[in-house]
Amino acid sequence: MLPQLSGVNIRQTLTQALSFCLVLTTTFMFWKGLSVVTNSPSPIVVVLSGSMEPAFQRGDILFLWNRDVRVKVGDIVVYNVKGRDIPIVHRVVRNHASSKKQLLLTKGDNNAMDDLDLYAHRQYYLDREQEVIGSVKAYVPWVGYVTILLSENVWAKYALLALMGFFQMMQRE
Amino acid sequence: MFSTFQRIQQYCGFVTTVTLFLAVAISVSSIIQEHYFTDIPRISMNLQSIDVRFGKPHIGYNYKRQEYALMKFDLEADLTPLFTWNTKQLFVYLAATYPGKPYANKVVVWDAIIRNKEDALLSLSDITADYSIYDVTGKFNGRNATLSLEWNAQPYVGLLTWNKGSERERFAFPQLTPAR
Repeated sequence: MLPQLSGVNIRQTLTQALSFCLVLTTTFMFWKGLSVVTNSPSPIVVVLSGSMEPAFQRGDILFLWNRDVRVKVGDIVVYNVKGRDIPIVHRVVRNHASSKKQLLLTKGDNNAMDDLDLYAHRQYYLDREQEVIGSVKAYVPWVGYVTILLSENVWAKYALLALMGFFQMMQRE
Repeated sequence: MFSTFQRIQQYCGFVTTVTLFLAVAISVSSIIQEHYFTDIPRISMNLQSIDVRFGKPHIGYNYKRQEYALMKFDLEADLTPLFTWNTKQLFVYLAATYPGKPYANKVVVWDAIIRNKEDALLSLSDITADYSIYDVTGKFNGRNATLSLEWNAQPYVGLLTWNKGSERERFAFPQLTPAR
């Protein structure tokens, strides 16, 4: 065991750790940078439900933009109702805008009824500034299904870990 | 073993690059097609009737008792030119715009999802709107309003686009019809 820990080996391990850290920080910086550019806390989202079908299916990826002060009727927005931490992607069907505030009502294309049921108790409108975190500008199908697979299946998580470990071992040789 | 692994890695990288390039090319070409090679759709609309009542809106979860307006309208539209080779669906909606203090308003009264070019020829006569209009203040006070047809083109991949027809139908909210 011990003889293997020669100087070269330690150096190699450290270099590998460093490059791993670099990958992590680069990804993180890219994400945060995108967040600053789009002014959205979560500029890329994965669709989790079928309420916007047939436009968006589960696993599709959406790119958001949040620099417009007012959103428009017909826009598809992602919102987070205060006190509920599940982001929802639905279309704006009503817009009441004053110089200070914008009130919105949203509805899923695939839902028969509007979203009042998803809002807080006795909340009749969404607040654009407080609750909307971006409106959808671009769309890529399927790609996000990997994250759904990972978050909903334990075996997929372990499979990914095993695969990463395997790759790491391969690279060592 | 090492070279096999390397080959897999290179292959995956190549596939990703090609797919990404293809997606961007498809999106850009469809936007160019939409902007320069499509005709303006032919639209005509006509408000048949509009009724303002007091009570609960006929659809939706808003159970407040207030004034709400329900309309009937005719709509003729040929939206086939809006379909490019990258159009997955068209979300078409009829919106009523009306002023107010402090809130200026825009409300969708009717919508439809069109998935094929063949279904893009709309011919509706005297149909009831999908949604009734209600205001933040709860009253309309005979305000003027305009109807316009707008749409959102959903691509298979790439940028979503929004646009609207230039046709307008103007009307004023009538006085409250007493409940029977």
